Amino acid sequence: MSSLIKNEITKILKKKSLYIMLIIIFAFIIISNALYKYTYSSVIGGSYYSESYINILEEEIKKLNPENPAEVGDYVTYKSDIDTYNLLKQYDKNSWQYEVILNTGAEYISELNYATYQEKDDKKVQELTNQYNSFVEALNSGDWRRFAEEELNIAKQNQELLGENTDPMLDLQIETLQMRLDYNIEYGNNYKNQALSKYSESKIQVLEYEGKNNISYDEKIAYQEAKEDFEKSKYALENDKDIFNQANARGILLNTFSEYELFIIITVVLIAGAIVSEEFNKGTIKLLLVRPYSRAKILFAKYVVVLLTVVFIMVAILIMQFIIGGIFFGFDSLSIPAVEYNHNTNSIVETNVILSTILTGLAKMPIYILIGTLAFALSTLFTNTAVAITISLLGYMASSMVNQFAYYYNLEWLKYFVTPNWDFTQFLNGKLPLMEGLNIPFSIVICLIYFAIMMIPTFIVFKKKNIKNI
Amino acid sequence: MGDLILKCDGLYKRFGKKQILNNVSLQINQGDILGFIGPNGAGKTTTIKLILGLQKIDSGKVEINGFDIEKNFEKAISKVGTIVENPDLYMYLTGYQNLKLIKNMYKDVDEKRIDEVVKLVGLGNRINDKVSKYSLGMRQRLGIAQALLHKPNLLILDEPTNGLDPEGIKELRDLIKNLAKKEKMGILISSHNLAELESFCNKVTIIKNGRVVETNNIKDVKKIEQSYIIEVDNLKNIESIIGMPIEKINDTQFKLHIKKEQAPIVIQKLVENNKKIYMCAEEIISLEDAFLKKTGGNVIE
Repeated sequence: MSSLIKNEITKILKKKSLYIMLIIIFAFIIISNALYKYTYSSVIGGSYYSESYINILEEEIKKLNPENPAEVGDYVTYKSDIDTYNLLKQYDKNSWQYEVILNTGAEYISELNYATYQEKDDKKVQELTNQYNSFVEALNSGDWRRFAEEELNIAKQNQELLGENTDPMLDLQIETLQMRLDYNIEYGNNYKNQALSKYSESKIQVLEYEGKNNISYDEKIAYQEAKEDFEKSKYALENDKDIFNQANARGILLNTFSEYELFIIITVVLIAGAIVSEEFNKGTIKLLLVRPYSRAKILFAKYVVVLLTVVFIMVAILIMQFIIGGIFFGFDSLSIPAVEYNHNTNSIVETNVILSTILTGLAKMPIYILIGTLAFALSTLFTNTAVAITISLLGYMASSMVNQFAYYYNLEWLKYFVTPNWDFTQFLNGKLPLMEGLNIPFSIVICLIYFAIMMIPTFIVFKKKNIKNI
Repeated sequence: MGDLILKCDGLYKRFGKKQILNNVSLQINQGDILGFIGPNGAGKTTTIKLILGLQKIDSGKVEINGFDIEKNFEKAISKVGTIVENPDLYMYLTGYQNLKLIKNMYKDVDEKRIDEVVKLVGLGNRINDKVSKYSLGMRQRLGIAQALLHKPNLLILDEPTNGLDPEGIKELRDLIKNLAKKEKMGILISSHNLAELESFCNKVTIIKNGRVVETNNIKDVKKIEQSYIIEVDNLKNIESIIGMPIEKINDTQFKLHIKKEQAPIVIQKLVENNKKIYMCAEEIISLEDAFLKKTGGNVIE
């Protein structure tokens, strides 16, 4: 038996198709990492005003006369934008000043312009000019905490005005500002600010869902997601760890199996879809079946090789991403653990990044095995490589459509179909699965049933097959 | 005569409405080279596939070395070497890699045996080339090498001369003769080309439209009837001189169906009647002629 398996491996290793596939995957992983490195960061750190927009405003403003009451409104708006742009230009896009200018500075500027051109109130202009100048001075002093404290004071004053009433939004604003000061998070565009905004956004959602009485299954899932975001961002802030970053070695590695899933599927289907049919097409099956092994053993050896292919390609992709990611982004980020929120124990779970990726891979393995089994079965039943590969790939593509159907139209009977069941990552950490009523034992049974539906006829047909003239 | 190696008993096979095999039986003993002959479509390859367990037997029985091919496949097939139809090997592997794959499937075969077999079939220095670069003749040799690798005692070759040039056929023939002598095995060779089997088969089974027409020693098959061809100056009154009917070939030659001891008597009668005799020869009937007589021509029904 082991020699049969060894032979099948030899046959695959001597063929070019596997190597071509590996080269394509390697190239794709490099491109994908490069895209993350060079585009992802600039999307987040984009400037607020585009230069061409400001150029247009400058052209327009020349045509306007601030003395004309009909045009003064536009004039003030345009001028405020231009002034804000000019102020922003002095600071880095990711600096705290940039954000503060957008938060408060822009308002000061438009107030000042309004007073100057529309109201023409000298006293007010003087007052606002002073306010603006001290604002700019504060920007240059480098003390961002001053702005945070100011914001906090205003929020607290507003809270006092409410008296007995409470406003959850205001409470949240005070909480986040307090956290900003406590954890010393200066304004700007970095992971801490992202975590902070994620914290407040998810908390709003959590409060919203917790306030409702009867919530649907979809809402329960959304609540779980919000809760997860909330707990994770809290963790990120408390431990000062950059856990949400998708564009570093850690982030891409954790997503390896969703990012490159199609490549795993294609490789497995390519090999499983040819492993039996090619022997028939080339006539070599005759020389294989006249050896002292039963047909069942020969077919089983081939199926074992399909399973080995699944493992091999998963490990290969994992290693490739590990190395390429490390080269592009450095290996430092890999020391940050993978952080998940467990809904059963209501606690944060830290796992080693590589371990967590492997766990995700294991949970996704039923997909690859079942698709591989489909290709293998078709390859044996139809002895036609093209049919086996095409149908299996189409089947994989259709699977996500089926799942969406099941999800959006709430088609409960579709839970007996294999595709909503085969992705076991949906059960990790006590999450609610795609459809109501799914659970791990149920999904295992469904996957096994579909496995048997494919495999039993395959073995029977192969055992009884007449080897006709080729 | 050695031990019984292969025994096929009343094989029947049907594909759809067409009855391919109809009560086919044959036997091979140790040391036999059985020529399995019949026109195209007679059921030769199907019979071989039933023997090898590549197709299911409708009724009847195949036993190799005493083991039933369907009930005890692994044991029955373990001492069989074969080429079915074409020597289909893995084109993207070298000759040696192909043999190594097959070696792996037998426990008692080692790498030395590969070298031995390669030498035997004369592939020599080309063994490390990819099979895709081989000529048909070389692939046929490699096919025989893989069939012999595990020292089988039954060798089944299906149309081994197909597509070979005359020189290749001669080489193959010499190789098989050599094998039968050296390694004591039973050999079954199917062919529709009789001339090449005649010189080295000791038994013949003739099949036509799925039925075995005759199984016999090759000498007996040829001995359908003995005849002499005689050439004289003219055929005038020839029948009355000899006293028996003749078969006229042309103006001066005729054929007589007589036994050897009658030949001198006939010649004497001719001489006595002043006939000039230019030639008198025993007609050697070829296997081909015998075969055509048995099968009634190369007709597929």
